[in-house]
This record gives sequence, structure tokens and C-alpha cells, in this order.
Amino acid sequence: MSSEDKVSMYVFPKWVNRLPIYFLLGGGALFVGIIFVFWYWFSPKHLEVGYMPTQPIPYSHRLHVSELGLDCRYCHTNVETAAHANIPTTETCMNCHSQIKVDSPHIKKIKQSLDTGVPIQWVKVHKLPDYVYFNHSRHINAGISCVSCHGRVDQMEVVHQAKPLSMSWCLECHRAPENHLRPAAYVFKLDWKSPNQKEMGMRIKEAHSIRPGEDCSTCHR
Amino acid sequence: MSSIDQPTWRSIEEKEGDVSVQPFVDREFQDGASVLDEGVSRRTFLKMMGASLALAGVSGCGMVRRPKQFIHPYAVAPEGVVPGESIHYATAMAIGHHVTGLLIESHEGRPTKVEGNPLHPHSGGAAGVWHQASVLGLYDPDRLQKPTFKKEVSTQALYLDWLSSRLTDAAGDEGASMLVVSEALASPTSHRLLAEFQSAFPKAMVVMADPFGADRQVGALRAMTGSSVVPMPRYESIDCLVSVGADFLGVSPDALRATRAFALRRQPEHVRGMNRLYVLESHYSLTGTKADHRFRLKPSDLERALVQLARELLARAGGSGLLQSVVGSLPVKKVLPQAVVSAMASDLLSPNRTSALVAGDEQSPFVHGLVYAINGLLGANGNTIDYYRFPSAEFATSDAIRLGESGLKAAVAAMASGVIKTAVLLGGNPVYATPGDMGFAQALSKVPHTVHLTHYHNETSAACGWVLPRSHYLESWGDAKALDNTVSIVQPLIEPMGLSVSDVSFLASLLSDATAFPSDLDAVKATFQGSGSAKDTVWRQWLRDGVVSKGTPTDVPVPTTFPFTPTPVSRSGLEVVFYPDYKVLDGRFSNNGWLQELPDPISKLTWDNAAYISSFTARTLGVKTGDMMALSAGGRHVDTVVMVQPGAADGCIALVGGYGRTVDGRVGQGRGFNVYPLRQTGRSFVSGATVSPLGRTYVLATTQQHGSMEERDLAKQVTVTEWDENPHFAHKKHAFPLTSSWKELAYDEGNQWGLAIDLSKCTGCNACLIACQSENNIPIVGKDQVANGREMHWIRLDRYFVGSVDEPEVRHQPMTCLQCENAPCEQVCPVSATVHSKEGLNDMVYNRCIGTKYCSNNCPVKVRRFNFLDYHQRNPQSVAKRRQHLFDYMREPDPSVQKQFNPEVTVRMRGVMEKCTYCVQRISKGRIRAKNESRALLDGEIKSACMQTCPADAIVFGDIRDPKSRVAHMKSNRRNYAILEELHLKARTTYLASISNPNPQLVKES
Amino acid sequence: MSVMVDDPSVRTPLVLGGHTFASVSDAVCAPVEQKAPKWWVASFAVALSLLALLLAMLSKLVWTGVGVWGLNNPVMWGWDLVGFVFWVGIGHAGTLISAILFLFRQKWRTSINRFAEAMTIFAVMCAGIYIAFHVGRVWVAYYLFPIPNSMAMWVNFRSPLMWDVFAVSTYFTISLLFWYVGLIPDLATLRDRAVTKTRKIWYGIFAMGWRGANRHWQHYERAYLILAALSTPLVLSVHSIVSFDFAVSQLPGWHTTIFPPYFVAGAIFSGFAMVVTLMIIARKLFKLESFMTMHHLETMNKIILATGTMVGYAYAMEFFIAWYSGNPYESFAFVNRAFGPYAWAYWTMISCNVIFPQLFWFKKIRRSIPAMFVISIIVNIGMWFERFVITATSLHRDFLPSSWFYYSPTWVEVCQFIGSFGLFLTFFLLFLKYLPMIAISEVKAIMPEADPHHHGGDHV
Repeated sequence: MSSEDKVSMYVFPKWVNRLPIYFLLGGGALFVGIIFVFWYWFSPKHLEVGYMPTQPIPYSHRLHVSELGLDCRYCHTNVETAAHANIPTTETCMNCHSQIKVDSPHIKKIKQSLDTGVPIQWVKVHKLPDYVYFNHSRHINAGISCVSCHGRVDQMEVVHQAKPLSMSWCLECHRAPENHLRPAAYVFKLDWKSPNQKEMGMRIKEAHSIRPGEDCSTCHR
Repeated sequence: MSSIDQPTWRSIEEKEGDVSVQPFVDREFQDGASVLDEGVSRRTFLKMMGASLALAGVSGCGMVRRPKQFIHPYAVAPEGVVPGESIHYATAMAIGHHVTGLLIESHEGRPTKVEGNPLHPHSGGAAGVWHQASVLGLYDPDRLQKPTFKKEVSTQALYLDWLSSRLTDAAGDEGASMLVVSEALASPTSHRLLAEFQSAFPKAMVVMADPFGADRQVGALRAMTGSSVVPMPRYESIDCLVSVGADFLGVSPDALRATRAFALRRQPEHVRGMNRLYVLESHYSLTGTKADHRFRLKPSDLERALVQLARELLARAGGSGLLQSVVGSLPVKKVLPQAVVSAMASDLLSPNRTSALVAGDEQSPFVHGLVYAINGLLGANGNTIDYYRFPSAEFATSDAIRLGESGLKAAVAAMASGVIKTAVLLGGNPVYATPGDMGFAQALSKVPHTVHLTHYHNETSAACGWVLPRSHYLESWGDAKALDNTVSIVQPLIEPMGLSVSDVSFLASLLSDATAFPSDLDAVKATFQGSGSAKDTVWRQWLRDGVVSKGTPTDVPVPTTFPFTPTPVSRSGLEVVFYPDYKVLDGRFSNNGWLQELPDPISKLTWDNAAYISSFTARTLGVKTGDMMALSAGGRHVDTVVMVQPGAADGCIALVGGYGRTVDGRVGQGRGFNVYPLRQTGRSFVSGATVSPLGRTYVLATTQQHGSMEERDLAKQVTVTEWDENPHFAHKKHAFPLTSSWKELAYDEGNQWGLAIDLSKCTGCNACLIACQSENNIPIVGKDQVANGREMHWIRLDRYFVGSVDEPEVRHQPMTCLQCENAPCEQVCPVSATVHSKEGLNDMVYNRCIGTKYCSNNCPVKVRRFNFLDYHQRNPQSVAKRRQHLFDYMREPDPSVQKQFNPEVTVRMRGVMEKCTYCVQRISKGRIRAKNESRALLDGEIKSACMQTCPADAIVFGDIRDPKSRVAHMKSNRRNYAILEELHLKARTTYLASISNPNPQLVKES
Repeated sequence: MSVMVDDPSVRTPLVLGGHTFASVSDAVCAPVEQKAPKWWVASFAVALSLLALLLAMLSKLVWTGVGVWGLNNPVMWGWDLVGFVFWVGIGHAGTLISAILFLFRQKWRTSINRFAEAMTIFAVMCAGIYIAFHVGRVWVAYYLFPIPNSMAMWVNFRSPLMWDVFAVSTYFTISLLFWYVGLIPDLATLRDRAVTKTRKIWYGIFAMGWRGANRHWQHYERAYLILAALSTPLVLSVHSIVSFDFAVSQLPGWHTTIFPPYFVAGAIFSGFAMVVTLMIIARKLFKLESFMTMHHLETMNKIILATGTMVGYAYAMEFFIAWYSGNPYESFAFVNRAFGPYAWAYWTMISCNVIFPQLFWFKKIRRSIPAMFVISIIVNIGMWFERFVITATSLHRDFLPSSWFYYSPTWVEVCQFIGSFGLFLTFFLLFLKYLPMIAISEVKAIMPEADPHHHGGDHV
């Protein structure tokens, strides 16, 4: 028993006895915590919403839509007919700006683009994963307003992403379209709100027999 | 996803001389690094997903996104182009003398897919493997980009200087020192220009020839009748057909028209009943696989058999003088049993049934002459066989313009004699593809000044001074006259990728002294000046329809002489037949990955050719499949690999042209073996060949290793009589009721998609396979991977041999995802990456798949394909790539090739399973269109790619819930059956059993 | 007393060599407390290099893709799944010995259960590696777990592979707990005997303040009993569920109701064989013959003989059913096994699993160390081939002859399998060196001295 002279019998203080239970609880909490961190903070809801890149030309939707009253379709011409809601051509801008504010440096840039044919390099804001096939025309024609996915663009000085555009977010509407359906007349009226959305949505849903697909192949190919 | 970007600058509208776009035209195609900005990122989806994952890690907050993505809208929108929506343009593709009208799908000015033009008689809406694969050839980065002189990069201007000096020289001797050798051209404008050139230089020699083609047949008929005509059988109205070595359903570029018409009469439901096909041939051809009676004969016996048949027919019918005098004098050798011959004869002569013979392009003039005479006897000429003026012959009026092998022979003689100072070679590859005994290469080396217009740097261009890039038909103006004299305008879909010259401009430059190449558009318009092309509306109409005018047959020319004798053969040794490849034809498509990896329809061989011999011949020679052997005849020899082919003729070796390229792009170079040296000028086949095994073996990569059906009732076929006795043979009784242990879904609302494949019509031509490959961005995997059973084709053609090894029958069975309602794959996937849709589709979600491969193991038909490696990046033409993140890869497809990808379909990364989904992108497109127009879908509005291109019209897709739909109608047919029904898969893809129509007399015999 | 008799009326003593309580502790703790012997260092070096090989192969796999393996279209599972089932099978003996034999009060288990449990845990770790890395995109393998996500996607609970994930992870957790709880008293012993501070602290941490108090013992016994009860069904469930991977599919040769019992028998078979192999080496090198006696080995051999015979019966029954079912695909699959391209594998399996173990009918062989060593190894080779035969030969020729193909592994697959032994051995050698390989307290409990009615022993 010479060993015990070298090393004392008890190396741990008494409080250590409580450690195991702490470790147990702490470990569990950590596990749940990690999952929560990924599920919430690493989700598009948190990572994507609010993305507001600076554009080559500080085009103000608020000015053009709210104040000047341009319709969405004046620039995004194909939104009713094509999968892709096109960004306007330089020509479109020049329709007005060949007269208006011609000497603003930005308009000069646009003019230059028209002359040289070099497209204006806009920064992409609303980006779906490349394996998602979204069709604007289908949603517009079904009576889903721009505002449902893009927010109040008409009030944006600089465009930013307003909605998460995540799969679960898409499914919310595909499973209950009545929360967003509206009469065709109001699809492009971003400021319009129905007093009784749910009930009206139901009516539209029945009237046009709108059954949004929930199959994988509805969006993925 | 933004696709509005530089590629859209390549549209017809822009092409009309808007110089401002020129800088972007260049940037577009030379600058590979700009791919990401150019919106092709949809096609590299999973890498991007990885990127965004990695990014989630780095960027703590959501306000950042890297890499930044940009959108490039048009500055000035081209009329009619809607970003993201595809447009179809009509054009036509000529392969040798054969022309097929096509519709090209274009995404923002990028041709992505080739489909047939329903208005064109040679297409009828179908497109063959070569036509569909040509779009990949368009983007082939190996194509020549710049003119070269003596291997040095040069300019068009310098070439034109050189040319004018040559022309002034030639003017001195009226062009006696000039030689123009062109591949077979079907373009009236080219013909016109060649004729004009000829009249400008009367003494110049103009030759037009292809290694394989209609020339021999036309030559034979001209020799007999004095007029250059080409026969066009109306297969739909022939009840009894004898093919004399003719593969009219297979390798002939005219096969589309033939297949559609022939297949009509393979359905027992047809009002005039089924047709009957006898095939005499030396190797197993696609046509042979559809034969009701097939006789394998070595080429010399083929001629003898034909004589035998002719005699029998004369004996019964009493004959016309000419035929009588011909066969009467010939010695008789009974190569076919008398019973067979008499049965055939009585069948051919049986009253109130039409009958005809068809001779293969590669047969000897003797055979062509005899067949022509016999058809006269049978009353087929002008009745079931129309004769059209041979388009190329219309300009070849002067003797100085020669067609075919004889022309080449004369050219070689002229070059060898040294009189030729300048040789102008348009397309083709004569140094490689001419018979060995012709000595074209040596002769060409004697010519001081040479120019070659070619798509690729090849054996011929390596021997030429000037080499000019040749424009693809999708990037140049032109025109084309089909054998039935249907004329089409060839319109470009895209600006030339490099400094290439179109055929028309090239030929026009021989006549002008301009400092720039003349416009091909002007030249073409000039050709049609007379026919009112001046009016813009007419011109636009032609472009819209893709057809200018249809042709009319000429009167049947009267045979006057019969200047042919049977081909002399040496008694000893083997006989060797040559035929063009089902995939790369004569070698012109050898740098096309899709075609290289396309399985040969009979041998299922990929990436190679082989010498096909019967098992008996193999035994006698002491060789087996995979052995290398030296094959020598006429003092020359080639090394090649043996492949034993059930049903090949004994004592005969079948060699396939188009391989063994020594100078070619990265895909085609060094594949297989070159057999042209063994060919002999003026011979349809070679005799007295000897074989010596080399003691080496060679790996052959086939996609199907097991040929027997193992008595399993998979590809069902019975004879007409058996079918009459038992109309419900296709439906087997099951020992136990087919029920599920759980409640099955009803699938009783909305559209319910289904597919029906008529095995009686299917000829196994592979068109559907290439259609699927180009529609769905399916990668090629390379020979080593195919050899390891990893080919990626979503639809495959199962080929089974039935019967003896020597005289087997062949069954074709297109096999793709059956979209089972009780899909075994779905329930075993742990992550629900494959699930059923409401419309009965077996969805495959690539971005959910983690690659356990369990689904494939549980798939009874093994149609699921796994990306074992990232094949798009292992493509020989892939390029180094800018990396985004750790799990990104070093390489990516060449930016040029990426432009072919279909933006409607994701490109799968390695580690995920993929498979057919009935072209779900097309279904979505149609459904959305219909919904937006708030109407129901029409039957036939949505076509899967395979159905859309099937020349036989054997594949039908549609809504099985709609009783009026075509597919529902087919599924109600008594021949309809589900494969492996006993597994209770409830497959949405069903088959219509094949029916054969053998001659009852011969059935009794056997 | 040290004479071996097989008179059933007399219980064979389980500890020989006249050990006392104290000497037992000394003997078992010796390897842990003494300096590592040369052979240990040498073999540990080998194990580490094999482990490195495994890591190298895994990196190559992840970097290049599953294509580095020889898999092809019909045969989508090869050495990967074979390796998985092989290791899970080995990982079977441990819990069986500890749990089931414990519940059956099989006293002889005490001196080997610790050993077997350790083996179980390490084997299951190897299996885990295989199941994780056989997927094409391992970086999204977390899709396999039902975690809340912004895709609103759930896993597919109908998939046997899903059941596997749960079965194996549960089995691993329980086995680990069971093993650890059993270790606690012995860890305390080591702590108390420790001569250096570090040892004292480390063993102290894991001994969790065990003082051997009466209440400690009560709680301990209770906990141990509960865990034994918990893991008993697992012993049967795990391999049944692994067998579902095959049985639930509809592939001829896989779709068989006999699979669950047949797999469990096979697993015990291979597990015990592995225990025997390792025990023979360990008892010799650490001179523990007096604890791992010939009696133990013989008993294990009897079990091997029994399970081996069950497996043989299963083979025969498969064939009978294939014929009796009248299902052409089924019968072809089995004819193809025995006479097809993979016949060599089949007959290797038969001879290793059915024929050689029969030698254990002879007492001489049952009790001969060299013989049982060889046979135990042969059995594990045979069991590897059993999994190969089931996986590869069924897949390579199924319904459509057009898709038939031959599968052969690449060097990567082979090296990865060899490497997995590196992982196993590394952990096992560490176990031998730093933990008591015999449950000291339990062994003491079964010594005559522990019997209250025992007289003459020296009560210390």
C-alpha cells in the first residue's frame, strides 16, 4: 500500500458528484440547441430575407409605381405569359427617358447601353435554387398577387427580398391557396387588401377549381 | 432563373447584319469564364446548392449572397423572343443525297434539340439518330475555329488571295489543272454553282462522291436505261417485300420515311392486313430483325440466290425478253432450297397482292439491274415503286462532272498523272474513306495546291495546304433537294461559332473574285429567283414550312441493255462485306459522343466497331469474341477485333466503316478500326480474304451481355395464324389473384399519364434513345464505364435473340421506367426522394436523393441510372473550372457544350439516381399552358421526346383516363400486355405484343 | 480440483489456478497497470496504419464518388453492404452473452462478457462507417434523420433502410451504456489501485465516484438488470431489421420470410466465432487461462456448432422454398447461386459455414486450441461470403436478362474492408491496454469464496 502515500485517496472535491447530472442535462440542451440553430438561423427565413444589393442604377420602384403609377406589366411584360418575369430591356427605359431626365448620369448610362448594346447588369435579388422551376404566368393567372411573394415592392426604394422563398413557405400556400387568391383585377394592385380574404379565396378557389400541385414534380424536374 | 443573357444575341433577327452585337458574339463563345454570369447556372444546380450551403456557414447574417448573380436583359428585344420560352424553326439536314426536314427547338437563340418536320415527306415528324445528335456536333469544341495554311493559323482574306491566284492560273488552261472533289451534296444551289464553275472552267474536273451512298444504284440504272433515276418504294402499299441486302429500315438515312411506311403494315389491325418481308443478307441488319423470313447468305451467294429467284419467277410468270436473256445464260447454283424459292416466287406472284424487291445501296450493279428487271416483271415499277430524277444528276450533265466511285477513280488518275495543280476538297474525308487500292492519299500528295473545307481537322485536311472551317448546317444558309425532289430551305439557327464558311459561300467564292466570301443567303435566293422567292411573303412561308415544293415521280425508264455480270469471286478464302455504321455512318459523326456511346442496335456495341462473323466461321477460324485478328485481302490488311454475331452468314466477314480515325477530335480519335483499306474500287464486296489471329484480345464495351430471354415471356411475339387461333395470348392467367396487402390509390381524377409501345412496329432504330438523351441532358460516360455497366441512357432497347445461334430471330423491346403504380422503388427510399404524383408519375427528386441506390436494387426492370461519377465533368471535352467550395469539382462541361443543355431539365450531379419521368418538363409545360388558357389538355398536345421522334410511330403517350385518347385506344388492343405483370406493378407503360407474318408454306417446311 | 470432469452433478469450476479475490484483481489489472508489452506496441502500430488506410479510402470515396467502387447497374450494392452486415453480425455476440446469458443466469459468461461487449461496440462502429459512406452524397446524409427543416420534408418510415438507421443506432447506444455500467465497479478498482495522479483522475472520472457502498451495489445491480432486459429484445431485433433490407424488397433471392431468424442465427454464429478467435489470443498473451478456461471455449464452440447447423438448415430451406414456390424467378435465382458465375462464392460459403463447424461434434476438436482457432476464422470468412452471396448473386441476375451483369470489386473496396479491421483493432487494443478485459467484480461473485455457505476459504 505504498502507492497511497504518493497519491491521496480522494482526488475529487465533493461538488464533483453533481457534475454527471449537469453534463446529462447540458448535453441534451446542446443537442436540441444545435438543431434549433440550424433549423431557424440557417433557414432561408433568416438567411435570405432582407437581401438588398445595390443595383447599377438606383431605380426606385416606389417612385415609379406608387408616385408615377406604372403598372408592373409595363416593364415586366411577360409575367402573365411566361415562366420568367422578364427584367425590362434598355429600350423600355428609354421609352420615357429619351425625354425625361436625359442629363442624369444614370440615364446617360442607360442611353449608353442602348447605343452600344451592352446590357445593364442588374443584380439578382429573388433567387430560387436552380432545381426549382417556378412559373410566374401560372401564379398570376391563378390570381396570386405579386405582393404574396415579393412584398410591397411598390414601396421599396431599393428592392429587397421580403419572403423566405423556402420550400415550406411555398407549401404553406400550395396547401391553402385561399389565403392568397384574389380577383384578377387586383393581382397587380399591391396595396389592395381583401376585408375577408379567407372567404373570398375559398370562392375563387371553387370558381376556378384551383388545385395547386403538391407533387414533387410540380416544382422539381 | 435568368436566361436572358448573351446567348440570346444569337438569334435570326440579330443575324441580319446588326454589327453592334459582334463584340458580344465573340465574347460569348470564346470567354468560357463568363459561364456563371451567362445564366447557365440552372444547369449546374447542385454545385450551386453546395455553394449556398458553404455560404450559409461563412456568412453569419442573411444580407450577403455569394457569388453575386446578375441578370442581363436585352438592350433591344429581338422580335418574337420571350425569355425562357423556346421557339421552333424549320430547316433541313442533308446527309449525302438524303434530306430530312427538321424543326429545331431554340432557347433564346440557342438550338437545343432537333425534331422532325411533319410537313416534310422524308421526316413525317420523325428525326433519326444522326439528325438529333447533330445539335451536339454544332457545339462541338473540337470543330475547326480558324482557317489554317500549312498548319499555321491564317485568315480568310489570305485564303481568298491565294484562291484568286489559283483561279487566274486555272483560267489559263480552262481549268484543266483544277479539280474539285466534293462529298455528296443535296443542295440545288451548290449544284448550280458547281455547274457554273464547270462552264467557267470547261476542262476542270468536278467529282462528287461519298464512301457509301446511292451512286452505285443510280449508276446501274443509268447504264441500263440511260436516265439517272432513283427508286422510291412506297412501303405502305407493298404487301410482299424482298430485301436483297437492303437495310432500308436501318442504316440508310432514308430510313425514317421507310420505317414509318413499313411499320404501318406491321400491325395486324391494318385494313390491308400485314405485309410480309423476306430478307436475304450477309450480316444481321435492323431490317433483318423485322423479317418474317431471313436467309443469311454470303454476298456471292446473294447474287446466285437472286438469279435462282429470277429463274423461278420467269418459269412461273413467263418473262420479259431482257430478264429472260440475262438469267437464261447464267449458270445456276442452288444456294436456297428449291422449296423456299418456289414458296417465295408463288408468294410474290400471288394475284391481288402487290410485291416488290429492294436492293441495298452497297450491292453490285448486277444485283441492282436484276432487281430492277424483276420489279418490272412483278409490275412494281411505277406502281409500288416510284422513280424520281436523281437530284445530283440534274447538274452533272457534262462528262467532266462525275459522280461516285468512278469519279474518284478518274480524279485519282488525274492527280497521279500530275496534271492537277489545284485540288479543292469540299467536306468529306477521301484520304481516310476511299478504298485502299485507289491510292487517293499518294495521288493527293502530288498536287501542289490544295484546300479542304471541313468541320474537323481530319486525315484529309492533314494532307492539305489550306484548311477552312466548314459551317454547320445549323449556322449557315443553304437548300436541300431530297431524293423524292422535295426542296427545302436550310436556314441558320445561330451565328457561326468560329470563322467558318458555308458550303454555298465556299463554292460561290470559286466563281467570284471578291475579297470576302459571298453571302450564302444571296446565293440561295438567287437559285430560287425564278420561283417567286423575290416576294418576301413566299420566302417567309418557305422558311416557316421548311418545304418549298414537293417533287413528282418521273415515268419509269425502259431498260434497253443489261451490261452487268455476276461479281467474280475467288473460290478460296472468306468474303468480306462493308456497311456504314449505325452510329457514326461513314465516319463523319465519329466525334459525336452521343453517337459513339449509342449501342449498335444488333450487337449493342459502343465506342468501337468490330468484324462480325458467324459462330461457325469463328469456330473454323479458331477465334472468339474479343480476339484480335489480321484480315488481309488484295495485298492489304487491317487488324480488327472479332465479334461473333448470331445469324451472320457463314464464310463471310462483315466490316463496319467509320472507325479507326487517326486524325479526329478528342471523342472520335482512335476508336475502333479502319476497314476502308480493305475495300476495292468498283467492288461491292471483297473475296479471297484470309485471317490470321494475332493472339491479342481487345475489350469490347457492350450495353447488353445476355442475349437470351431465358424462356421468360418478356418481348412477346406470335405469328398471325397463332394470333387468330388465340387472340388473348398476351394475357397470362395468374396462379393467384393480383392484390395488394394495403389499399391501393385509385388514380381516378385529373390526367393519368401512360405509355404504350407497339413491339410489332418498333424496329429498334435507337431514335428514341438519342431523343431522350438530348431532351434530358443525359451525359456520356465513356467506354470504360460502359464496360462496367454504367451507361446512363434512360431508355434502352433490349435486344433478345430467340432460336438457334445460327438462325436466330431478334426481338426489340424499348425499356424505360414503367411508372408502376405500385412502384417497388418508392417504398424503399429512406428519404422519399422518389414518390408518386397524383397523375401517376413516379417522380424522381434529384435534389432530395442521397444515393443509397436501394431503389435501383428493388427495381424489377433496372431502368434507374446512378451517377457513379460526375460524368459531365469526365467528358473528354470538359474544361477546368473555377471552384466555388470544397465539394466543388475541378472540371465542368465545355461552355460551348453547355449551351446545348435543355434549361427545362436539371443536370444531375454525381451520387444521385436518375431516370425517365415521361418528360415531366414537357407535361408541366403543357399543363400550365392549358391551365392559363383555362381549358382541358388535348390528346397528343403533350408528347414525350421518345414518342415525338419515333419514326415507326410505335410509342404513344397520353392520358389513359381519357377513353378517346390514342394511348387508351392502344391499351384496349388485345395485344396489349404489361411486362412482369405477376409482380402486380400496375405499370403505366405497357407493350403491344409483336405479330409476325411468315409464309404458311415455309412454316410447314420448318 | 483442477481436474476436468464432465459429470453433470458436479459443476465445472469457472475460475482455476486457486485464485483468491485479491489475486483475481491483481491478475486482471496486471495488463492495465504494467507497461505495454512489445507485441502490443507492434500490433497497435499495424492497427493504426490500417486505420489510416481506411481514412484514405473514405476520402477518395467522398472526393471522387461511389464510382471508385466496382458497383454497376444491376449490382448497386456490393462490398459496402456486405461489410455492413458482416460487422453488425459480429457485433451480435457481445450483447447476447451479456444480456441473454445474464438473464439465464449463465455464470460462465462472467469472464468473457466484458470482452465480448467491447468487441460488439467496436464492430458496430465499423458497421456504422459502412452504412454512412455507402450513400452517393454523404454530405446530405443527414436527410436520413427526422430533423425539422425549412423544406418541410420528412423521412420515409416505410423504408427498411430507415429502420436500419434507428435499429443500429439504438443498439449501439444501449450496448455502450450496458458496457459502461458494467465497467463502473472495475474502473473504481483501477482508480483505487492507481499509483499515478493522472490514472487516478481519469479512472476516477469514469468511475463516477463509486465507493462500493451497499446502496451503490443495489442501484448498480438494478440498473444492470434493467439494461440487460432492455438489450435482450435488441439482440433479436437488430439483425432481424438488417435482414429486412433484403427480405422486404421483391428481388428473387432477397424476398424471403426466413431471413430474420436466419440472419440472427448467422450473426450469433459469426459473433461467437470472432469472440473465440480473439479470446484464444488474449488469454494466451495476458496469461488469463485460469479465467477464460477450456470450459468457456468449449461451451462457445458448442454454440457455434448449434448456430452453424441452424444456418445450414436455413440454406437448405431457402432452396426448398424456391423450388416449392414454383416461382420461376425465385428458383432461377437459387440455381444461379449454386451453378452460376458466382458458384465459387456459394460453395466457399457452404463449406465454411456448414461443413467445417460440424467438426465440433468431436470433443477432441472442440477442446483443441489450434483447431478451434482455425475453424473460428474459417467461420467468419464463410459468414462474409454468405453476405456476399446474398447481396451480389441475387442482384447480378434478376428479372430481365437484358440487365444481367457481372460485378467485381475494385482495389478501393478491398482496401476499405481491410481498413475497417484497422478501426476495429485500434479500439480493441486500446481496450485491452486501458480497461479490465474481465469483469473483476462479477468473476469474484462466482468464485466459491463468494458463496455464503463456503467454508475454508480465507476470508480477508
